[in-house]
Amino acid sequence: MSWKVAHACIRGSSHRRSGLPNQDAVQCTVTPGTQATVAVAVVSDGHGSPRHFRSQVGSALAVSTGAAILQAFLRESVAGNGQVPFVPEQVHELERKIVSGWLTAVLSDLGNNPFTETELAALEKEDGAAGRAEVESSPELAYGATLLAAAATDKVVLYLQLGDGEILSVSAKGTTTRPLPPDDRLIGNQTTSLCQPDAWKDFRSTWVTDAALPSLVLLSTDGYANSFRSDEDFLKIGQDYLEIIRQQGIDSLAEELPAILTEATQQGSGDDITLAIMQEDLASAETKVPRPLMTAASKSALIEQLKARHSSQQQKLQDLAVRVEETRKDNRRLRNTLLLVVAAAIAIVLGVFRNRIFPHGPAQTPVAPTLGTPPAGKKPASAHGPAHKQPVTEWTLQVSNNAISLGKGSKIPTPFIHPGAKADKPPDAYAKVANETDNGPLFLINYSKDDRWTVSTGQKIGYGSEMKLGEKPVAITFAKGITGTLSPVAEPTPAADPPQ
Amino acid sequence: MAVRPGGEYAGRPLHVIWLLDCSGSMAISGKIEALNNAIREVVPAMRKAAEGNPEVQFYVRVIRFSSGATWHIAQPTLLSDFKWVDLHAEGETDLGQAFALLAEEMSTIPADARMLPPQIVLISDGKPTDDWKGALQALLNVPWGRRAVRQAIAIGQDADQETLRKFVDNAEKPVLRVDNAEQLVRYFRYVSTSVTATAPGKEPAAVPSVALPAGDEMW
Repeated sequence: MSWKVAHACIRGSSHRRSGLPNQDAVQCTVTPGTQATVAVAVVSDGHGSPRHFRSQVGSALAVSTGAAILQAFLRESVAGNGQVPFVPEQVHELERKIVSGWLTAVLSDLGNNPFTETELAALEKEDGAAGRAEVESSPELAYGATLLAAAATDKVVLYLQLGDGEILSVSAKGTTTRPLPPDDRLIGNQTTSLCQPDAWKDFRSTWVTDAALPSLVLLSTDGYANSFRSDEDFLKIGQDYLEIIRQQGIDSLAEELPAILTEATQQGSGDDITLAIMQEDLASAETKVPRPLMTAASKSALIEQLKARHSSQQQKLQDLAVRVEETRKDNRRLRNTLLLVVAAAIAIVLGVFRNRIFPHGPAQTPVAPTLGTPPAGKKPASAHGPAHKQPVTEWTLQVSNNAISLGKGSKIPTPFIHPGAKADKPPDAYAKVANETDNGPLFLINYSKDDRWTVSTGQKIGYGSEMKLGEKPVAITFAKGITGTLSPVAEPTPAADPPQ
Repeated sequence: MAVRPGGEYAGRPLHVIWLLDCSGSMAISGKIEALNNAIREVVPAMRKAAEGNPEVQFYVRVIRFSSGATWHIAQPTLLSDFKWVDLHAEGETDLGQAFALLAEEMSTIPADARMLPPQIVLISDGKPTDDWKGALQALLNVPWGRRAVRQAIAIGQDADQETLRKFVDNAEKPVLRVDNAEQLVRYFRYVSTSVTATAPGKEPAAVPSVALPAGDEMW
């Protein structure tokens, strides 16, 4: 399993009006390695107050420093230990390293670009002589910024946060949670910061492993959450982004992100907004995410995996197909033999009638009883029956007074099986018929998050699950009060075998 | 826009709360009339300043204190909907009760990061007649009370500037003393528009390089 990333960082509408630059920054990297792919997403929000007049540089240095240190950390962890890689002391050490790395980068920038009199005079005008003196004695204040990061391998996701902003973790089912505890100090435009003394003590951090790995991680500066009417309105982004990515893929979403965030700042906070998204990459996923959720990009790779996984079944199917063909040939031979025997019998009978000397002539050796005996070395006849039968490829779903014909690739439109759905509202298909392998059996897949189907066989079909389409009619309860009957459509009788 | 993840967008709320002295002394020399008039001038100026800050929703409410303290305008009212009802002056200067009433209200506001720091403006012309110190401490102990931008205007020479300074508790925001109706309008307008004109994410500008207008010392 690996990760894909997307991000956008836009200037706030109030910054645009007041002439402030975009003070946010973001950096996302996915670096493949021999042992594991390491993905890192870092966002930073440079403070807006006058004394942090170089915070757009501070945030840029925060994301570049943070990303480099986190990558090295994860790579070392992977190399050193295949299991859960951290102990808290290691992470605290990492936090100290990030803060000191940032300070070093800040002082280096300051060495190359000392404060100008224009900058200091502007600060003095806004914050007074005391403000100016404070920045002159602690120049890192001018670069003040937050830092939010997620760093992941296929086994672990590590979360780090210093200052305001939001990290959300989204499960495969769309459940959106905050992996880190809240910090009560972050109210009313107040934040902890990289530029404060002993800043590493203000880091919040945690990590999750294996089964707890999320499908999606969202990191955003506070301008995004502050753009929503309520926390509930904000948290809804988790499920929504997951849905969008499943429908159109993360690369397509990445192109739309700047427009989405620009609308948010205009109608919401007015502040700069940065969003970084890390998505569990389905191309190399095992079975954690159900099939219908695959992206176009990962589809072919997944099929290859599935093929490999099911190679033994495929081999059996091929064997069976060979046997079917052999049996057919045998049957043709037998039929021809029978015809010859019958013709011979008729000839004998005719001969008897023609020659009345032997009206009760000896019965000819009844060959018939031998007819049922298979030729030596052939398979028992019982194996022939099903082999003759073609697999069903078409079904009819009778639901709500409608008969919907289903075959490979068919979709059941939402209004038929989901209560309250409107015909003109997407998604237009809440269920689909698809196959795992090119010639494998067909399944009916449940796309509806809200519904859990019950089949008359007792099988329950949740979101992302599927039922194998069989040869017997079954009843399916799609939602409360909506039950349909799914029946196979009988194949036309196969044409007679061609003559030998 | 094809997609719009999340629920409804909304501007960030900023609550402005005025604590206004309506004690008997305010009835002398037309002070209460001057205050009523000042508010009628200040509100349109705030609306205009807020136009430059469309992402913030400004709400105003008012506490009056004299003998006791009550909400004169209890509902947080959007600037655009704000209508002024004149105050009348009589009684004591129970500033402590005003602090207590405000602290009680502030403690009910959740620590929501969306909310911008509230602005509390205290206008008084006298000395408190009740125990205000404990009540002020209670106000400063509430997170939003502590985080609020607190400012004070002293009307006339009898105002207790020391008390007002303790309320403001910020060396960068001196208590503003006004001695006539024109100064009251000017300073009140300055204090109020500075908050509505300031973009979020940026601390409000330091007070004030507003030159004292030449005028008579009426109060």
